[in-house]
Amino acid sequence: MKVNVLFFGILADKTGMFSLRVNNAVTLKDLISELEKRFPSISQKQTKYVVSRNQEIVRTNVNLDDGDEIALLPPFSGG
Amino acid sequence: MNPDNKYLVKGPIKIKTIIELISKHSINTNMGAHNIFLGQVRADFKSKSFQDKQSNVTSLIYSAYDEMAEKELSIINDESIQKFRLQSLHIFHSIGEVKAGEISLFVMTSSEHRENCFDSTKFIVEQVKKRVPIWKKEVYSDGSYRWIE
Repeated sequence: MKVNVLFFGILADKTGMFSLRVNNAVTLKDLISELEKRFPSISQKQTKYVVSRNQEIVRTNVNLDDGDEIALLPPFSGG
Repeated sequence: MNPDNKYLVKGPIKIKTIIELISKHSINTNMGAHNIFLGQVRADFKSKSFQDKQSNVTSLIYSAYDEMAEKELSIINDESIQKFRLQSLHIFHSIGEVKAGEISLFVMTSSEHRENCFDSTKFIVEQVKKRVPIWKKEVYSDGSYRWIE
């Protein structure tokens, strides 16, 4: 599946990008695993973040659909 | 930034905007109280461990997952109006650079009675901080910055 991955906050600094197109994503778990291999500094052992799919936070593994927008969200610090 | 954003504002929240809102509500004579919270950027004097030297925070730079932030702010808005029986509610959060002394968060609650205003303002500020995908980094007087968690 073709998905768009967004990086926010410190994750954008660590990856050097705000967004990345991934063409062969199947499940969310596999996608995150691939991203952490590509960008070792964002591994969840080093950097805390939650994941959203189409702007809803997801905490379980799901199958991805074409056109999904996946975002990696560090702890919020607004206000 | 999306020009249709309702809650996210580019740069600091202007004092003129705040005055205009207060003025606008003077015709609503069914309101008995307004409460206003202003979140102001503080010029903290901080140690930066990598240099072991203290620097002033000169500004904060806010970034957001815009669409998700607007959605969540809208939910907080509607939930709060219902929960506290507010007659009016305004929430604005800055995106981009806000200098020390400038305002980055504005909440104005209006109700028939003051208790609803006091209680709702605190609730809303805490919900915004907890639930809205916004991030800030401190910029120091030497130009370096650090993400806040």
